[in-house]
Amino acid sequence: MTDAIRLQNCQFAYHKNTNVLNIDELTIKKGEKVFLYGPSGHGKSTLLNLIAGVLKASSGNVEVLGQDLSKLNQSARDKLRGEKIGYIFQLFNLIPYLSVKENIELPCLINKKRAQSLTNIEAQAMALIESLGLFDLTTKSVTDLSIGQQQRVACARALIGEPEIIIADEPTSALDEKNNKEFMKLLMNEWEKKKFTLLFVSHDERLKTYFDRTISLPEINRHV
Amino acid sequence: MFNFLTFKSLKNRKFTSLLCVLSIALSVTLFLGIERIRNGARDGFTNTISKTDLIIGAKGGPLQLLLYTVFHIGGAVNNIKVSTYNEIKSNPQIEWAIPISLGDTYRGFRVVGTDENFFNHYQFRGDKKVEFQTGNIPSDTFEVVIGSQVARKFGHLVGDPIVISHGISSGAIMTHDQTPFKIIGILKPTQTPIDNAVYITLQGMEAIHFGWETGTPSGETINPERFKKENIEITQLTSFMVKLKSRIAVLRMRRSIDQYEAEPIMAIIPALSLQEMWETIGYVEQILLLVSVFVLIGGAMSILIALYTSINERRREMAILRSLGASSQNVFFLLLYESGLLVFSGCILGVVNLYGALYFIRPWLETNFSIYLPIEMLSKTELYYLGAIFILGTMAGLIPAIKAYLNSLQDGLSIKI
Repeated sequence: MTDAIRLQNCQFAYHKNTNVLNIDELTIKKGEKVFLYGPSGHGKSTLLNLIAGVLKASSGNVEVLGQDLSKLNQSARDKLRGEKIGYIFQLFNLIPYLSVKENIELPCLINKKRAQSLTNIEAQAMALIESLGLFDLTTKSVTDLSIGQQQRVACARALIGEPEIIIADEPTSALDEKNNKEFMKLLMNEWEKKKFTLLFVSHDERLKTYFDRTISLPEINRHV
Repeated sequence: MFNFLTFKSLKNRKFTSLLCVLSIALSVTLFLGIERIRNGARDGFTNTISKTDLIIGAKGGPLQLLLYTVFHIGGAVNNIKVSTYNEIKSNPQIEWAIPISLGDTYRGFRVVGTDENFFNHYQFRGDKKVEFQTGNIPSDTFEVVIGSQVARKFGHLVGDPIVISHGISSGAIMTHDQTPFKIIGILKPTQTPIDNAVYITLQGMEAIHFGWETGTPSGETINPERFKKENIEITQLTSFMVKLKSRIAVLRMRRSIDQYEAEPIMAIIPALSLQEMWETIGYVEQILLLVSVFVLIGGAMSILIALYTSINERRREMAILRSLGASSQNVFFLLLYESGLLVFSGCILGVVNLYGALYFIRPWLETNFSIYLPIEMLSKTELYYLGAIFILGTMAGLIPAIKAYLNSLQDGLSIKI
């Protein structure tokens, strides 16, 4: 069992006869860092929602860490996501009414198992804050942060509790060149330390140099 | 998770949350307040007189008899003979009888001629009796006891002399100035018509009309010997109240009085008449009830609006929570919990306000409307109301909660801005 994510003959349709996703085979090994090239309009959101267990495949298999998601009910899929997956959005990752530290600790609050693996949530939050260079911002309101800072906080939040999979959905596309580079450097540093499975989605092909392998969504999604 | 997030989220929108809580609190205060006033007014009214089994007076309208005897409103068409009173009073079934003689006023307040039985036996609001603030029962011809409002309005003290006006019209110009009275007692407030009356003896009532046999003062000088209490003969009364030794006899007694041959008289059962009268004016009560229900619906609407308008701007927040492992159900309950918390705080604040308001308006209601509102613990009914309000308010939060749930199902992890 060395696959982190595995899709087989996977199809998804919001309505009958209008498949938005049709993937024969997609496998990502544990500890791999994968660049998923996905320009908009190629079923990118659908694929990520399937892997995260928010949506359920219409047919075929989606396995995450050896678990067949089609055999799990919604609440079990929500639990699996909360426990094993860290998720970074393109923009507006943070809950506006929580502080930086509260945002980072939030996954542990929502999923108890995520917290269980930690002896000290506070200590790990502080360690992440330290290594992502957020030290001066701990008590700041998240609305006072720059976009670059916000994305780093989002990164710290995805990493807390050491989830096995990190899904980053265009995390750098709202950043300028300098922040972009800095974010990638920090993310790669963390990967070196923890060797989680990293699924990085972007339409910016220049970023693929950071990764072990590149998958092109337009190529594997036969439908569109 | 819910406590922390809800608390933080409400705090973040503290102005809207506060307005929401205040609006709920206002509806709760108004609803419970109106309920209390409604019940207070009804209880006050139907308990103006208690323990009295029958009121007996000259034949006429039953309502009229009740109004002039108990509320001192309007007047009797005919008086009754004292011999009638004496005969009925001597019936072995009678426990006590209180004679009432009306017809004069003191600066707009009714003068009631009665005897010591009134002070010893008259009861209201269950088993409350007439009590003295200071002084005693009038015993001599020209002694008077005044109600608390009369004392308050004119600042009267025991020992003050007062002059009674003839007749019950408000602009009475003829006064019994030859026969001034002396205040020998002031009654405690009762929040009943007693507060607005002055009480003299039956003999006093006769004595001030010596020389008035024609309806106007004759001007003749009355021999002071005639004013001695033992020399005054009472000839007529306006009405009287009786209590029977056994309740069972009330209806039979009433029938025999209605058929009394020596004089045309009638008897009414005050509790029954009061109830009937309240029912005829009780539509006011219904209107109050209706108003308070609408006030409540308004409060519930404010929750609905406050939460519903926030749903769209919080779509992002919900997607983030979902990405962190929250289920759609979690999102639903988060919203429901918020509304529940708002309503709960509103209820608590509303009850606090209720007691605050009661404390302040109580004296005003008592003096101006004779509505007696005791500051009591929440009754069982009121707790039921609060429960119902809580459920209603939380239900109002159900609509935004369902909306958020559907949004989160639809959006999944895609962030809609």
